[in-house]
Amino acid sequence: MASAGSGDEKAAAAAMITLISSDNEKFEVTEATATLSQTIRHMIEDGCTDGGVPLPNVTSKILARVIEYCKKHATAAAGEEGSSSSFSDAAFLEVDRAFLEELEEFDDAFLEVDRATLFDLILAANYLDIKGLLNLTCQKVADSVKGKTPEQIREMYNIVNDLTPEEEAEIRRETQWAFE
Amino acid sequence: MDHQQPQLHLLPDDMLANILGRLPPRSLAASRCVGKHWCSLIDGRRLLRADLLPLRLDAFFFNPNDFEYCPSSFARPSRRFLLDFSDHTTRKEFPAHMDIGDHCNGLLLLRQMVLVNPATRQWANLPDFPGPRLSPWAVMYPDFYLVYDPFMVSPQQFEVFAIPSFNLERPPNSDEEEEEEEEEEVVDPSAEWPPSPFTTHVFCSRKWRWEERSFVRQGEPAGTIADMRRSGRFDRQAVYFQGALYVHCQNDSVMRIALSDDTYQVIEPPVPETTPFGEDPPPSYLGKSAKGVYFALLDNYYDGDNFPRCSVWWLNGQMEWVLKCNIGLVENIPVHPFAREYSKQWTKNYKKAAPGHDELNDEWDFDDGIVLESIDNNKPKEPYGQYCMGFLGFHPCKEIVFFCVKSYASSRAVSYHLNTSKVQDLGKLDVMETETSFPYTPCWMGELFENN
Repeated sequence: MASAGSGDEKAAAAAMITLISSDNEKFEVTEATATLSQTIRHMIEDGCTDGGVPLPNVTSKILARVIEYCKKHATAAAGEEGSSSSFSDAAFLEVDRAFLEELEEFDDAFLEVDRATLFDLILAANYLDIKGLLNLTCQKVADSVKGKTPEQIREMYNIVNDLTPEEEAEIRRETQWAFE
Repeated sequence: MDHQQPQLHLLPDDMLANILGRLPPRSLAASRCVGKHWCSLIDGRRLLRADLLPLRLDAFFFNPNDFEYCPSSFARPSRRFLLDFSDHTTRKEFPAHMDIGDHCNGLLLLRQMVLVNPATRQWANLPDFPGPRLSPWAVMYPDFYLVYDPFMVSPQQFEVFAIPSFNLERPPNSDEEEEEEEEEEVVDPSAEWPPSPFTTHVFCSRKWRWEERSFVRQGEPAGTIADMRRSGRFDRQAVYFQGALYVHCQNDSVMRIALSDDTYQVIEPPVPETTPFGEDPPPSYLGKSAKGVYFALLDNYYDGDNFPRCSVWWLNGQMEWVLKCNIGLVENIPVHPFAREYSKQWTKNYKKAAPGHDELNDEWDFDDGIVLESIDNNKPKEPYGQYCMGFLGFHPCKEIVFFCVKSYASSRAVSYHLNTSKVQDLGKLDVMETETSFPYTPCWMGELFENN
């Protein structure tokens, strides 16, 4: 991961950023990958990334996953940009579709994690301000809640019902249409 | 991993709101009952906007009669008034002639393949239908039905189903025998209808394209194609209710298409059709009301000596029709001097926002009304021939039906409460014939086409 290994090593090396997790693990990533995070982008713009970017809110386990996501999406973005100039419209659309499908498959596989990890990813995506990852992970949780009864939601997420039966009945009455 | 106790409630409010904000309204309503924190978060951030949902009957839309070129509305006084189609017919991007094919939860589908939300004034042209778009004189032609569920699915998505109908079989000795022969090559009259698998085209807004979809039948067919061609029921409607599309077939059977598993079943008509071939069957209507799917039939409609009656059935969970009532109101309604306490009359093509009455934003009180006196058999009856009854539709949320009472002098819209028998006069209705009407529930959810 440390070396790009391509002919353009100098440029690549110049654009490497070191991210430091809460448990002090160092991750070296390209600038293109790192700047999917608006938080890191702003740090780079402010020139305060020398010596690495400490991320005290993100563990190495979660940061590794976040980087995996950013790498894939940064590559996809670069691929799209590259192809738009060298292909005809039809060919571009074809490439575009293939990229999107591959990306969707990646995202689906990426979300195959336990709920605790999913919540950590949401927190990390929010802290690092990675819009795509935040959308993806929040949608995953929303999909798990969709169509469930209040009882099922509480059970799924260990939420204690702090409403009295009267209060709950009243809340239900307010949106009676939803329970018919 | 279950031992890790996923701590959804420990997520900061912004993120929890981000998650909950993605839920459709019905799931949001369920989420409000989960606990105090969720409820106050959903309410505090106004994530659930029930006021924007199609929960109120505010108007009827009518298809144009022979002298009109676009649909008209018949609406209650309100601060928020609806789109007037006649303002648009002269604009180049809209069809010069418009008529409504279907309505579902606040969206209208025009036969010209235009989708309209009259509340938010959003329009969209659908891509060309890929299936055979035969002339109206062809044996088989497609009807299009809308599926839009802003409550359970998404306020941004809809689907359009193409369901074939059949033109009437020409009586024997028709002088156009040559064409008849041509037709028979296309359609085998003894084939069962609908076939299994039933393959048709469905438009999906998320992908913004038509796709072929097949539905496997469970149980018996509605009949044969020949049976369908014997019934002169046109302008039949479909009902979307809780994940299924109920299509009113030509012999009064109902085809229930389950959208989740691509199967369908045929529900037999509440009363078997006995109309002799070549005669007009009594008018029948399928609609959505308080408890789901309802069916109405105007009995004795063409019997000049008797007043028509209206029978209403409700479809129960076992997919059986249950007779809800048989209304004999028709004798009384046309001659009854309606109390005029209902001063806020509904009007056609309601355009002006009513002056500032806050109550105008509340729902129209359909529960109100008067109970008509029972019929006095000794009183001389008005000859029925002076009046004509039309069925306007079902109230989508209450067990109320609407009729149009036409006489030589005028025609009026009246509501009839199926449980209390209360009748209410909604006002003068300028419809010449019984043009198809669509009870309309405005949907104010925005950005219908945001993803396109």
